[in-house]
Amino acid sequence: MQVIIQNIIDALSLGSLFALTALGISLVFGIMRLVNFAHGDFISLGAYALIVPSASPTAIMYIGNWPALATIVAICAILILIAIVCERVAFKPLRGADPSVLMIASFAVSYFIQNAIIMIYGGRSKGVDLWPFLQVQVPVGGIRLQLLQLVTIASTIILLGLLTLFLHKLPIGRQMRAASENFTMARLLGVRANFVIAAAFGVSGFLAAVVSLLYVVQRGTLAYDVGAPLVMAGFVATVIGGMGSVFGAVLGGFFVGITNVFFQVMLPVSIRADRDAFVFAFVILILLIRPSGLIKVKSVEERV
Amino acid sequence: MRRTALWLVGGLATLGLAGASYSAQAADNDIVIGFAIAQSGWMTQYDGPDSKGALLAIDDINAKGGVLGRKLRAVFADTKSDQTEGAKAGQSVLAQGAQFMVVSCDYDMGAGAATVGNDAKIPTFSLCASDAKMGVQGIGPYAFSMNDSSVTIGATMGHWAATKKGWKKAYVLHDDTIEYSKGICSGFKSYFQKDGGTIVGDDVFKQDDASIASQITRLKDVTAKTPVDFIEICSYGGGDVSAVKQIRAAGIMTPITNPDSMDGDDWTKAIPNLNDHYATVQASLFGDDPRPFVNEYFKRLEKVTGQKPTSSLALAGYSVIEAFALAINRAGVTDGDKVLAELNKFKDEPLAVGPTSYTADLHISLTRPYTIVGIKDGKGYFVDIVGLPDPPPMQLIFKGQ
Amino acid sequence: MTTATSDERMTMAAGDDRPLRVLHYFWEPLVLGLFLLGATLFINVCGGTVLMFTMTNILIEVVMVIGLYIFIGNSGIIAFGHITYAMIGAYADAWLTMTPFKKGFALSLPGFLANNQFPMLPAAIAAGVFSGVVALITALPLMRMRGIAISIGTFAVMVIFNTVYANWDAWTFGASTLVGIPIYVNDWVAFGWVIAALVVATLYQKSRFGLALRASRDDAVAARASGIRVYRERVLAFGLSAAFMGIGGLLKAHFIGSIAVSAFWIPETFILIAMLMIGGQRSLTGAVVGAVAVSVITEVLRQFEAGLQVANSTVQMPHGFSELGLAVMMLAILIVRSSGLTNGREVPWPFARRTNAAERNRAEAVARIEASGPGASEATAGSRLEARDISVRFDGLAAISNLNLSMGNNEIVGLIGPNGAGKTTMVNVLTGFQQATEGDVIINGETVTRLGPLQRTDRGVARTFQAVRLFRDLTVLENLEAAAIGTGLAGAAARKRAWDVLVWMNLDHKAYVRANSLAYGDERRVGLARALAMAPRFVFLDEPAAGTNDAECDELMALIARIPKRFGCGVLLIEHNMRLVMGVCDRICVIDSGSKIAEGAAADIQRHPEVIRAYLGTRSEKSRA
Repeated sequence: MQVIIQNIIDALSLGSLFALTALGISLVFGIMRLVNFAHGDFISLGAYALIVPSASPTAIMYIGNWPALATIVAICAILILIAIVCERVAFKPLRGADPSVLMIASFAVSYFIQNAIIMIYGGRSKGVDLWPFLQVQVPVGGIRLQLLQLVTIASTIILLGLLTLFLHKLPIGRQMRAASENFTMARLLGVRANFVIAAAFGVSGFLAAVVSLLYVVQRGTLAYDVGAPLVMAGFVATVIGGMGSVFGAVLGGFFVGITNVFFQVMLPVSIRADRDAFVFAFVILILLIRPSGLIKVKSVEERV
Repeated sequence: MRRTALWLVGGLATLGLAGASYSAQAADNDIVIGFAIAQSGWMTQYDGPDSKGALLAIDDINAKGGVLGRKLRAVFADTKSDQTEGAKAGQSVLAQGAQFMVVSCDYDMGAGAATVGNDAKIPTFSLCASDAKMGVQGIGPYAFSMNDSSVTIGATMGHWAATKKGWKKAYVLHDDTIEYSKGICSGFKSYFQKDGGTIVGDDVFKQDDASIASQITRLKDVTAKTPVDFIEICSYGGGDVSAVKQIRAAGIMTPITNPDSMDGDDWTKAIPNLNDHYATVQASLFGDDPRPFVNEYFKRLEKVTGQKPTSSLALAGYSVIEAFALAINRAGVTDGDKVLAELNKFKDEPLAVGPTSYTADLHISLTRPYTIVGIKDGKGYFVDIVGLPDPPPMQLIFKGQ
Repeated sequence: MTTATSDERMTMAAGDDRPLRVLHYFWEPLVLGLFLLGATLFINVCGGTVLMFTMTNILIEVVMVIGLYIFIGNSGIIAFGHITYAMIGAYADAWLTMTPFKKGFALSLPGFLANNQFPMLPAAIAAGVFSGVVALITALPLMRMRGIAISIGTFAVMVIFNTVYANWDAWTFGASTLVGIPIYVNDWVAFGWVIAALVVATLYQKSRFGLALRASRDDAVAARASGIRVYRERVLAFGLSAAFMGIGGLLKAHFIGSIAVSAFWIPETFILIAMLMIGGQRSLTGAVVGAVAVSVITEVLRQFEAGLQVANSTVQMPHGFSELGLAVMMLAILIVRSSGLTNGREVPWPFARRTNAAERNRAEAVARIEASGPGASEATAGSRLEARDISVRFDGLAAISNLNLSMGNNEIVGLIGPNGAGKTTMVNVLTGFQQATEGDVIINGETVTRLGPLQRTDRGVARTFQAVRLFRDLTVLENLEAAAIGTGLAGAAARKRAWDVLVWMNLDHKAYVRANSLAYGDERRVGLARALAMAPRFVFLDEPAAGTNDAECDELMALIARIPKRFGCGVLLIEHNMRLVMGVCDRICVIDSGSKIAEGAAADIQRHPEVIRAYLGTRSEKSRA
């Protein structure tokens, strides 16, 4: 019984990370039809921003050593800035281009960032210890759970709440939703395209920062592609959940987290390593049977 | 369209002119050793220090008069941590007149260049590949590795745990992403069980896993029923460090053992107050190795590279040159086949890295002693030097699991 | 009838010009092949072993990019995971060509493969075919998807194969590098395969399959409406393209002597796509130019990383510079010139005159028309189209309610009504683009209600679109050819029919004009011509007179009036332009809010109170009609 509860918490915690990642991807896709593969590299950059830029094998914490709140604010600010800059430089000139072209552009950005990280920080992974106070066990109803896992799940729920408020109550959020549904119409009604798109990227940068911090606490090592598995999972989550749907992304994220844990627990050792193949086979199935994902978003379909 | 064509022609011409600089250097009396290694990309972290160590050896030998009265000279080409570029780097060092070749510290990364060296019939050493396929049965009769097989490295830990520590029960966590870690675990399991140990539980994870929470849950569950003496993790890189971190963060304080991917103690920054951690490595980097040459060597290396060495495999780089020098001296000539014959006669040659033997059928070490180091309060220290009484089973050596 | 108001470039020349035609047909492989031949020869003479290595590598990349182009260039769909077929081909070839000793050491293959070693060339062809077949099978589900889902699907397939191959120890050696692959690829072997790839790519893109696929690239909806089997063409192109990826993969294997699963992953696929995009994804020339350009520039950048002697100093860039350079180049091309360096154009044909075949076709068409006279039609058997009690409901809203319509293939029927009345929806129902919620569509007694657009076009139904939807990048002639191909004709027959329609519609002098450089009026006429090129029984014209002035409208009227007699084809005309409707229709159907409110001859309709109330509206409209 204890094991089952622990497995559920594992799944929810993992799912939370994926859901937050998927959210960042989905927000941008909804407005720009851009599948931003560089989102994973935003996450990597957030992690590397914690340390001093140096190629030495030992990581020297800098921003990571500040008081927790200051670190959070700093990393969020840095990633929001990076996301907006990327948008200005790489994606703004391509606005209105075919989604495939945008996806290739995001690959190019990703390739650039990864190689830039190797250039500045070296190719070797570095160990870091961020916020060790989260690495404790808390007794919850007779079972000892990891504080970090609970914090992850709680942060996700809070952020989802905040995001929903943002999208539904704040003017900029409403504008984002309008632009997501019908970009042209929104512009005709006075929504400033540049502002809304920058805002979407800014929010996705913020989400990447949160994921980055939670992930570094747990993983403890930085590598130039540390964000890659997250963006893959987030990407799968977005496809399954419904591209362009915020709620769908979250659903997809938890779904991927749960299936990951499920396969890890249930598959026999010999094919456990083939987990990814199963997950992506499922992606293809979804694309075939219900290409718009679990949550359909009307604006994404083509009219004859 | 015309402009494009002009640019293309111009580009090719530039290449052609640049390529002219690739042609063989003027013949001189030096013995040329070609280093087809990674000078950029992720593999540099291993090839860099190791090759610097080899250069130290070249300096030392040249200072003593060289080999056959001739100086040793190194030429380089960058594999860029890419297999195709690796083959090209091999061609490049040949074009620069290399009579012997040194390739990357990894079977996969070094395969391209090593194949070139082997096909050119020149003795080719991988700095520290731990895969027996960097040898006769894999690349070819001219390929060698200065390291132990990963199966041996894993077996050494199993042997030490069972016989020196008296540990009887182990839980194994293996990372099946690459051959290296598969070899470590197969060696560990086979020898640990041969020495009377029991594998209580066995689980798999991947280098890229965002979290090993499920694996830890299973670990807790199994070890609650049957407590274990230690946990062996067969992994590498960031995934390995992360696994150790996650296990300790989950409140599991059982001793953890790792292969030589967890060398040094710079990585312990990730895990506060790490204790009860052991790794099988080439030598102790902490200045307390019982072999004085080793401590001296790592100090020299730190001076030359400007950084503390992070992997004791750098010792193997030194020994590669030692091996070449010995074999060339004994052969009396630099002819590839004759030097190869001498290399194949090596029996417990006292190299810096340990007693080294090769035969016409085996170009990697299977029983050379490895060093055990431990971590206490995040700091590393020398524990023991352990050698295997017998080699691990042959089918594991070449096929891993 | 028509004079030779032709393109200045066309001249009448006597005699057979077969050699020139063959030259024209294989122009791209010839020029590109010669260019690469020159480069290879140059490197052989001036370069050392390393440069020859680089050149061979470039040639292998060219093979793969051509493979990639065969699918992406012709279909317009970006395949993100295509490198996986290179992996499949490489391993398949390894299974066939490694010595049994080497195989036995590393792998556990079944007896047939384990004990045999096959000759290089047949093995290469077999491995290429194998990759193609595997790709075909994966394409079957993939091409059922729409839009970006296909691209995502190809990515997913790559991940799946990568995971499987990395764990399939017995057959692939797992994640470990497989060595001992016989090395036989040098620059000439690679060059040979480049020629093969160029020839096959050319044969494909100039075939009816290539043309049909390129039509769908420009507008998949219009392609389907023209009878093109978009799904089938995509699947076939995918397979053919993957076969060459497989060849490229095995060439790499036999060049380096080793392969590993990790060498066929995201960075590699990115670089291939970069090469194609930078060169220009829409042309074979673009594929070659891109591969060479990117390789050369990357190589030059790498030289800077190693340290290049410039004047008296050494310039050295930090390692990683060439990768950053590639990423920047890629972005720059996408932003500045997304059609790539070649702008999607092939090698220009430098000779002033076109081949004679075109002129001959045109002359023959003129002769045919003059011989058959204005009253002849291709088929005279009476056909009937019926729509019975059609209702279409969207989420509770009735777009069409109980609509009845009936016509033969010898009449011109008008369908008019206010905006939003359901006219285009009705056309969509008749052509299979929209399923009727209730009711039936019957063609010649056959109930076709549940059939899709492709089955409808098979039964002689064609349409035009309000937005015209021409195949933008194709010439006018190719637009019509594509439609003719869609109805099952091939090669010469398709071209003959296309010319016939062009001449009849006085568009023959625009035959070689690219569709996206047509004037608006011509665009609409070509749209009509394209529909007629399908030799349909029934053609539905969706607002053909939009944007025309009175004179143009009269011309259109004259044209439409002759369609039933000339083509044996009934016309359903949806229009707002009353001049056209009243002037040419035998019968007019008026619908409002999804229901028919009147039907009859022009004169009756004009006086019908319902119609006047619902539709005709202002005084100025009435006076024009």
